[in-house]
Formats: sequence, C-alpha cells, structure tokens
Amino acid sequence: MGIRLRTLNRSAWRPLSAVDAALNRLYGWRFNPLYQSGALAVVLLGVVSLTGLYLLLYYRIGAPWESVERISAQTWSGRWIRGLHRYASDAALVAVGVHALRMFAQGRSWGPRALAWISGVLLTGLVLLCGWTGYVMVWDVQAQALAVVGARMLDALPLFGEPISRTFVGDAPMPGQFFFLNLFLHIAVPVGMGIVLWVHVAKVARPTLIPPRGVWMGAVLALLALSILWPVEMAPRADLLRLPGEVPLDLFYAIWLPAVRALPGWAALASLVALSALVLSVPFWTRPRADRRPPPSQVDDRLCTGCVQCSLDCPYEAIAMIARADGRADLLAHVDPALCVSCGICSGSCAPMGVGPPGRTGRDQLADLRAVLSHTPPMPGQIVVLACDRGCGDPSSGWAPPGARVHPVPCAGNLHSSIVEQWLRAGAAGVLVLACPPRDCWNREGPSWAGERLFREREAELHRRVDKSRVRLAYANRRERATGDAELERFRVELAALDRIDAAGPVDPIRECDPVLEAVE
Amino acid sequence: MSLGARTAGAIVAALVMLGIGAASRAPWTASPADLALLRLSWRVQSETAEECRPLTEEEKADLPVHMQVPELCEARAIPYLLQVTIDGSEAVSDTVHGAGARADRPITIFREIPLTADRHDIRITFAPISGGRADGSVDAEETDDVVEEPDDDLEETDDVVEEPDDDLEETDEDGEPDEDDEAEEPAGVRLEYSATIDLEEHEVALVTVDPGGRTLVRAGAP
Ligand code: SF4
Ligand code: SF4
Repeated sequence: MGIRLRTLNRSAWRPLSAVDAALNRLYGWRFNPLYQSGALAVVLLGVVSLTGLYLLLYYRIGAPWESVERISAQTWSGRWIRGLHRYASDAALVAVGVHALRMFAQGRSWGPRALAWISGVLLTGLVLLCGWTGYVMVWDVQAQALAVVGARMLDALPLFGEPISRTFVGDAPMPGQFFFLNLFLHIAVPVGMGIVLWVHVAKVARPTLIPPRGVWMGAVLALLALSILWPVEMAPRADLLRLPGEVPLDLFYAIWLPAVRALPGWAALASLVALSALVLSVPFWTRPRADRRPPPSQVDDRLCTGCVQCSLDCPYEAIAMIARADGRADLLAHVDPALCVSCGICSGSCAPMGVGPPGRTGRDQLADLRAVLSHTPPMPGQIVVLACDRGCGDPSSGWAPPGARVHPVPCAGNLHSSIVEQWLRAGAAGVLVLACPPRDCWNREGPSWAGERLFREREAELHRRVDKSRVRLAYANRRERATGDAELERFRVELAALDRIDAAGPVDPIRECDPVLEAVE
Repeated sequence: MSLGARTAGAIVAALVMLGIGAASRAPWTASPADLALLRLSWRVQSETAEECRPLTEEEKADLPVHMQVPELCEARAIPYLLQVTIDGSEAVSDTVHGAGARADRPITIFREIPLTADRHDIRITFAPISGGRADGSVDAEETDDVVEEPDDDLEETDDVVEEPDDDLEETDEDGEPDEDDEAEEPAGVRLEYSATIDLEEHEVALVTVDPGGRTLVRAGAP
C-alpha cells in the first residue's frame, strides 16, 4: 500500500515539477504563480468579494436576470466588473486545485497536516457552493440546469415533505424567497470561508496569505484585461416551461453538470458523497505504515540551553519553551509529537545540536560526515554540492556533474552550518548548497532558514571564521539540473578567481596603493 | 531575465487567460433538439376510509369495561392510481400513497416524462383506489411493480413522490391538516386529462390541477 501510494504521489509530483521548472524559466522562481497558488487563491477570492460588492448594489432579487443584464450593459463599470468577478472566481478555483495537487504530490496531507488538508477540502467545497449560488442568481439557462439538478439531489434526502423540485414546475413565477436564499448563501458562505481559512492555517507558523506583489498584481491585471477584452455575455433567460438547449457552461464550476444531469437525484447525491469521502479521507489513505512514519523530533535536555531558536524556526509551531525540572535557570525546548511533522528544520536551528528527529540532529549529521570523510575525503579543488534530495539531490535524478561531489541532504533547512564548515576544513574548494526553490520547499521554510544561517547570522549561524565566499546557496527543483550545472559552473569560476588571488599571496596595501597615490599626487 | 523569456512569459499568460475565458463559457447542448417534456405536478389531500367490524366476545372480554365498544373501527388512507398513456402506450401506472407514517398526508405528484417534439395523444387519470381497486379495474398491489422507471439518458425524469415526513407537513398546532390546504387541495376526486398536444422542441407541457381542483389542465396552454 505504502509503495503504491508513493507511486501515486510521485506520478503527481513528476508532471508538476516539470511545469514548475518551465515556469521558473519564464518568470523566475520568485514570481512563479504555481508556487504561490494557495496565497494567489486568497487574493483572487478577495477580488471576487470586492467586485461582488459592486454587483450587489445593482442586483434585484425580484428581477434577477434583468438586473444582471442591466449590469452587463454598463460599458464603463458593470461590464468589466462582472467579467472580473467571474474570471477571478474561475482562476481562484484553478489556484486551489494547483495548491491541493502540490500538497498531495509532496505527501503533505497526513499526520499533523491532516487538519490543513481537511479544512482545505471544506474550503474548496465552500468555493464551489458559492459558485453554484452565484450562477443560480443570474437565472439564465445554466442557472436553470444547476437549480434543477440541485433540487433533485436535495429531494433524494429524506428531509423535505414537499419535493424541492416542485419549485421549478413553471406554473408560477419563481418566488423571490428563492433568489433571496441564494443571495444570502452567496454572501454568508464567504464569511464561513474566512473562518475555515483561519483553521486551515492555524497550525503553521508565518502563513503566507499574500503572494509577492508582482505575482498578484500580474494575475489581477491579466484577468482585468480579459474582462475588458472578452466580457461575459448574457445567456438566454431561464424558462421553466422550456428545456435548456444550448448552454454556455462554466467548466470550472459546472464541469460535472452534463454527467450528473443524466443521473437520478439519489445517484448524483451518492456520487457527491463518495467523491467527498474519497478526498476527505486522503490523510487516512496517504499516511505511511506506522513503522515507516518518520519519528518526531526530540530534545536532549542536557544540551538545550533554552535559546528558543528552534521554537522560532519550527514551521509548524511544534516546539514550546517550558520551565526546566532539573533546577537549571534556563528554559527547555519541548516538542509536541502531535504537531511535529519531522521536517528536521530544528536540527539546523540548534547551535549545541540538542534537538532534531532521531538520527538527523546536528550531532548525527556530524557523525555521518566524519564517517564519510574518514574513507573518502574531498579531492583537492573539488566542489561539494549539498543538494536537497527532493530537488537535484534526488538519487533517482541521476545528476552527477563532473568535477563536483554531490551529497543529498533531506532538506537544506535540516543542514547544520557546522557541516558546511567541516567540508571546507576537510579540503573542499567550496560548498554549494543546492536547495529547492523556497516556495517549493516540502518543509515550508528550509531554504529561507538555510540562507539566513549561512549568510545573515541567524542562530545557528555559519561560524565567522569560515570564508563565506567559498559557500554558495542556489535553488533548483529536480527537473532543473541545467540550473544546477549553471550555478555550479558560475561558482567554479568564482572559486578559481579566489584561488588565483590566494596564490598571489597576501596583499601589501602600501605597495598596492603607492602607484595610485603617486599618480594622484 | 532575458527578453525572450519575458516575451514567452507574456504569451503563456495570455494563453492561460484565453483558456480561462473559453472554459468559462464552453458550449454545451443540454437537451437534444427533438426533445420535449411532459411534466405532471399537483397535490391532493389524501382521503381516509373507515372500516368497522363488530368485536368478538373474546376480544370484548380482554378489554376493560369502559372500552368494550360494539365495533372496532380503523381509518385507512386511500391510495391513488396514476395512469399515463402516451400515444396509446402506457407510460406510467403507479399506485401512490399520501405522505406521513400513516399515509394520510397530502399526495404530491411530480413526474417528468421525456417525449419527442411532436404531436402526442396524452391520457392521464388519477383516481382513488376504493376497496383496493381504481375504476374497478386495476389491482392496486400489482401496480406497484409496473411503475415506469425514468430513462437515465433523457431529461429530468425522476419520479418524485412525497416522502413520509410528519414534521414538515402543513398542519395546525393540534396536528390537524391546515384548513386552507383542505380548501385548496381536492380530496377523493378522480382527476383526468385527455388531449392531443403539439410539442415544439424543448417545450415542457405542464399538466396540473385546475384552480377549482376538479380536473387536470395543461398550464399555460395556448
Ligand atoms: S535551539 Fe537547541 S538550545 Fe535552543 S532552545 Fe532549541 S533545543 Fe534548546
Ligand atoms: S522536526 Fe523540528 S522543526 Fe520540524 S516540525 Fe518537528 S519540531 Fe518542528
């Protein structure tokens, strides 16, 4: 089961990382919209809410189709605002889909992350419900088909004395209460979404809800251009005494409609329940067998100095600082196993190497390195690449650049800075840390913390005695081996220049400056 | 970033936008051109019949003195038979019961029968089955098995018969049926409809009870 699931995850991950790599080439990893899909969905839903406020001013529950037609006739405002409302909702659903696919492909759906998965599925359901009510509010032919199918599904529930489908018999005009209910749901559901979103991000530290400005502005401007150049047209008005014929179908929200419309109400409802159960149970059926689950992090009480850095760095807020029981004055880090995803970020946080998942603490990393160095020390002038094993360091990627030695690491954020120092001391010409692009990190914040620790003195920083010009941090996903090669080549050239300077011996400032000073004088 | 990458990035973004625009209005033929629909929709008050029989001496002896009435009476909700014949063939022959645990709540009929857009001879009867027989001709129990199933490939054909639900019925606080409903909904009547109708493509012929509740009519018919 575990192996088949890994295959399933990987078969989702492979095409996704290929598309990621292609978009990295076009926009750079910082502005790759696929890496920002979750935050982009939040911004787009914000755009939907703002444009919805305008539409609300002109919508009339007594004349739904006519009022939407009037909005669409406002050339300078309503026309494009309605288009932006529609297209931003569509794009938000795409962004939600990409976000969910990434979480599934990266296996970030079980254990302590299950709550985020389940709340994410609920959020998606609410977005779809909101889209459903929004389309019904227009009361065109698509609305008619959606409303009738919805009523049939409700009639399959043993809840209503009177079949809901009789609302759409056509012997009388549609009651205003029906449109009022739709409008109410269309406004109330987004409020509920806000609460579920809060739950969705409750267990992560520093959630990213807004993508970089270039990404969200680019997306909104592109959608705005689409709404102006290709405004949303009015479909024919719903007529309950006619079957809908040619219907402009929104594939994002109603792709299921042609299939479900042919089913009896109970079968449609059963399909919906089965699909929801399947998606909601992903945390259950994607979790590895108990003996294969990575163990949570542990704290060595004797080594912990209470510096709090691990609790600051943990991306899942799994570490709390508690009072010590052994009489020492400082605090003690305490890992909550129910929250720890075993990402190992804390291993790189702790200067005294007192925390981390078993076998992956700083001390374990040092012991492993010593074992490696004892029989295969780096060759003189050789560059050592410490590459994330979900990126170019993936052993199956077959990346073996000539003249360099590639060592996979579980995550750049796991790497203790002492390891970099030890490689240089052992004779490596330079150390290239090749991490996944930051927004693609399976552990959320690994590459960011790695950069801070290596170059910006974040605790546990790379020691000052280390020549940082011989250390480089670069980003590439597993399909970007060419990027890895290019970064390596650039680093090699810089190291060669450094070697020439070193070979020239120490600089005598007096002798170097004299000719210049003489020329000036 | 090179100019080539920027240009390619702009083209990809434009294509994605075009994709969103196109996918938000994909053409879909929801109903084939030659399809039309016969829709039946009405609600009638169900009727109860009281059946009495004298108590035997043994039964009387088992009862306390104050309950030893001469006759034992039981109210039984009368089922209805719905029959629809289209162009001479039987499309529906279905026994329907009132809603509620005792089947004594109003009977709701909501059926949709797909038809070709053409001329059709429609005959509908909806009559109480007295003593287990409607029109004195059809066995009520046997008809349960001959309900025409909706054709899944066609339009909105679910049979929707009111489910028992005591809570949601329109009743007064004392549990009695609402008097207004009694006035609006015919009870115990035989309803009929018989006509030849021309259906245009996608047209829905709605047959319902007339405002007086005495017969079936086609709503909105020219
Ligand atoms: S980083 Fe290490 S020393 Fe600091 S609180 Fe955490 S376990 Fe203790
Ligand atoms: S491994 Fe460390 S950083 Fe990662 S979730 Fe567990 S406690 Fe937090």
